[in-house]
Amino acid sequence: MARKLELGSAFGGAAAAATSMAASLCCVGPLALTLLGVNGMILAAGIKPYRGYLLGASLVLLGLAFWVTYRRRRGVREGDACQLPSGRVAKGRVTRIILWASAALWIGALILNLVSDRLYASVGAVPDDMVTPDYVSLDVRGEPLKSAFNADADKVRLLMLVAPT
Amino acid sequence: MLWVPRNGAREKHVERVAGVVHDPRASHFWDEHGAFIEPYAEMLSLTGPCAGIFMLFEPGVRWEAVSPPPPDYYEDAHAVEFDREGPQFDADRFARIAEGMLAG
Repeated sequence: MARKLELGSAFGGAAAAATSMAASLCCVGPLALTLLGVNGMILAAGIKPYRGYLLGASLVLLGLAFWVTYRRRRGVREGDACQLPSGRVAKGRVTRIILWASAALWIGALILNLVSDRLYASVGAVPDDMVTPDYVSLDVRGEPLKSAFNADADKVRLLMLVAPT
Repeated sequence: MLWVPRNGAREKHVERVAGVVHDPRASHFWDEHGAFIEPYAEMLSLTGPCAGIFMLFEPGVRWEAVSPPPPDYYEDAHAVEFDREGPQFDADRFARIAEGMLAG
């Protein structure tokens, strides 16, 4: 039972760290474009609307993990064995390290989310309230892109094929 | 800007991320039926789930046949990742090539 609680605490902390990182992924702006490339930037932009939910979920997981780890255990009753199995203390320390590291990561993610809009504006990136540009669905023959492509036949054309995921 | 149905993408994903390219000169299209991506996937041997192809066409190139024309130059954002034939995308190099084309 104790081992299950330790594993639960470690898992909760790790899960909190993962969701915190996901929430921050969208917020590094131009740095993300440099490190992740265009497709990575698109992925980050896709996560952006859910960053509040991700931060909230990670906070819940983190809180649960801390509660499981630090809650007052029931007192030892007469006849109970007091000596812990070997290695239990070391595992408990590892769990606490993971938890506190996850907490630090969550705080970093929160700060990054709070300043991300300002960072975006300072480098001329897309603001949150920008209207999504109109797009047109092509038919089976590739129209209307085919006609648009030929209409600009006297120009250099740049065509980017990108998956929005 | 041609958004393609690769890597599990659907039309709803286009609405979410199209704003990444907000240059007013850009036009956005969703290749719902694969009219572009499928011929180019075969033409350029696009293995793997992702697209990430940046193509340049010289003046005078027209799309007359059923399949779209091959690009005069292209780079692949996933060339190394999926061991594809095309050159790995390099923004600076691609920009120089484009500027050279524009200069005529």
